[in-house]
Amino acid sequence: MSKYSVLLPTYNEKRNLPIITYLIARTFEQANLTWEIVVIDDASPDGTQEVAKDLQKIYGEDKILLKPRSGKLGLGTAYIHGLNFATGDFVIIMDADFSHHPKYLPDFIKLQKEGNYDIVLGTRYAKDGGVYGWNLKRKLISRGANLLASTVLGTGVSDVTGSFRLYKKQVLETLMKEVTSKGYVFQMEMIARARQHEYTIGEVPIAFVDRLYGESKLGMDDIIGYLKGVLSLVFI
Amino acid sequence: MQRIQKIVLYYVSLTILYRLTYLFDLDEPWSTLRPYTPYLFILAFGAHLGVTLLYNVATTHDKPQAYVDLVNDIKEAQDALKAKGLVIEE
Repeated sequence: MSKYSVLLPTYNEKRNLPIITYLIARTFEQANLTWEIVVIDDASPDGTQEVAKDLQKIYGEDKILLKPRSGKLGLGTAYIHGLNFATGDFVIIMDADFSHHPKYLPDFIKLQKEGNYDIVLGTRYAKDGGVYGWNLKRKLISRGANLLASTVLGTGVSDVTGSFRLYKKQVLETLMKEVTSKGYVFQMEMIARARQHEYTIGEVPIAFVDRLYGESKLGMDDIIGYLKGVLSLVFI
Repeated sequence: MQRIQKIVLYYVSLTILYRLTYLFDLDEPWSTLRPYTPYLFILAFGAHLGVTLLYNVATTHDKPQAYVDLVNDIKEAQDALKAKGLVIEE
């Protein structure tokens, strides 16, 4: 029976971590799947690690693996760190801020099994996928960024920057050795490199709830950084 | 193959095709339009992208129910964890 490892990089997620853990656990238990969560905490000052230890008492240390780091070291290295401890055959990456709902995980798993996909990604932009909390300006920017990246890079997927994905463990290990970018560009580079390796990619429509708490901010620096990132990926 | 190599390949292929058209005599107005073909191609491609973007924005689904479901799930999680002795700050 396959085992699924969820990598959860955290920084100041004291409030969100227990809830997302509950939702992940509930989803896997209802689907009768073997699972674990690897919490990679970057020395959160708000007590996230203490909450993770409380969750270990509830769910067991075999289900909740706490693998902290000494400081804020970035998402890419967090995944590499977490991969070292993941014991599953498949690895799921997702955000801990409720923008990605664990209820879609059985759909990811089902599609992966049906097509033996190397990667299954959640798409906001195809089939019945969608978003909550985006105004017209946000939709224009996000769809524009996605169109730009898809056209320039020729990735052939509908959602290039999404970060709700299931990977075969070996596929993720291979890609993580090659990827060098950060932020939005990191997720794009994963897909661009996956295409170079001719990995198969499936898509599951998801509803993305943006920023349950607070407003999403996208500045000019982010936009310029994104454009530079897309350009850099043309040369990989 | 790097993406840049593919882009260069597309550019070279299209350029060759374009240059090959000069081996043939064309009737008007195509003969007059021929030197402007690359610019017309760029314009058409830009228009295609513009229309595609507008279509994509218009067809981005709004999911208000996802928010409602999430809030309910969060409440369920808070209650369940409280029953197990873990209280989450509001």
